[in-house]
Amino acid sequence: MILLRALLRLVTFVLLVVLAVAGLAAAVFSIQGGTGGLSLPKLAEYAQLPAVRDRTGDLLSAVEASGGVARYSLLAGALAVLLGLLLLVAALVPRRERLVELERGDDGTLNARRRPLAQAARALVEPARGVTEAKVRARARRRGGGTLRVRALRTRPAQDAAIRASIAERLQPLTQPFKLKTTVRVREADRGARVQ
Amino acid sequence: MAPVSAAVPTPRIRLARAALDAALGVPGVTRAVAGAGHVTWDGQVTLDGVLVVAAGPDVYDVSLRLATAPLPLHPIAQGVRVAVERAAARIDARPGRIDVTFADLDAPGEAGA
Repeated sequence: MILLRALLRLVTFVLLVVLAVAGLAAAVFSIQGGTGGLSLPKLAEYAQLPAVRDRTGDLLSAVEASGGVARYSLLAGALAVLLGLLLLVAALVPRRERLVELERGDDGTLNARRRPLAQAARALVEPARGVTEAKVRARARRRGGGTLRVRALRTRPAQDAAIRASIAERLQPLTQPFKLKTTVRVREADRGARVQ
Repeated sequence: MAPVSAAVPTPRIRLARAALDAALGVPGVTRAVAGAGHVTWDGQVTLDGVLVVAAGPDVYDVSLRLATAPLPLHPIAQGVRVAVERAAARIDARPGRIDVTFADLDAPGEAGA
């Protein structure tokens, strides 16, 4: 379903760009009448529409006749319909909310969406001494709980191990009460990076 | 049998209202967040961020979607549960499970961003 949604986004984007370009071209070539300059017949000529019409005519004749072209056309048509239906499903089926289960008990569950959880973790990590920038991604685990993946940039004098320890300590208010694991990657910030 | 009027809130609606008000009164909770079915029509207005479902005779499961300030989440969750249970007791309702989802994070002093 994730792949289908990505394909849907791509198809939508491409179709919108094509539509925008076609609309712009039609608008520009509607400025003049007749058959020259910025007229619609001239646009058809630029787009080689008469040649396309001739070629399509040949193709349509081949599709109407029984033979290999007709069979392949039928197969391509069926696949196009199937793809269209799948894209419709991707567009219409509501997206399931991805939650990180922080706590589960008889009295209820405590969940968090991944983005605010990552934001909360980032708010805890960024003030750590020696950290110039931190990015946090939260992922849910199948059996409850989740993982916080921290990627931090440090200043040159700071040590990786010290930064990792500092980050782990700062994340404790978030990780200790819940089923959250952390992975921390630290690397030196590029020369010229400023402390944020 | 008397017809049910939308103006007279059902126990489910009363619990939804009470739970939402109680949750929004907890320090650290900035607002309720609609979505994932968490919208309850109480006959007059929509209550965003709360879903109350019957779980048995006179027992209702409560689910809340909330935005919070960047504060430790565990105490906020505990506070929400306690507040909802107290609010339910005040209206003689029996909540079953109380689910809390942290759906958004607001910057300090900001709500509804």
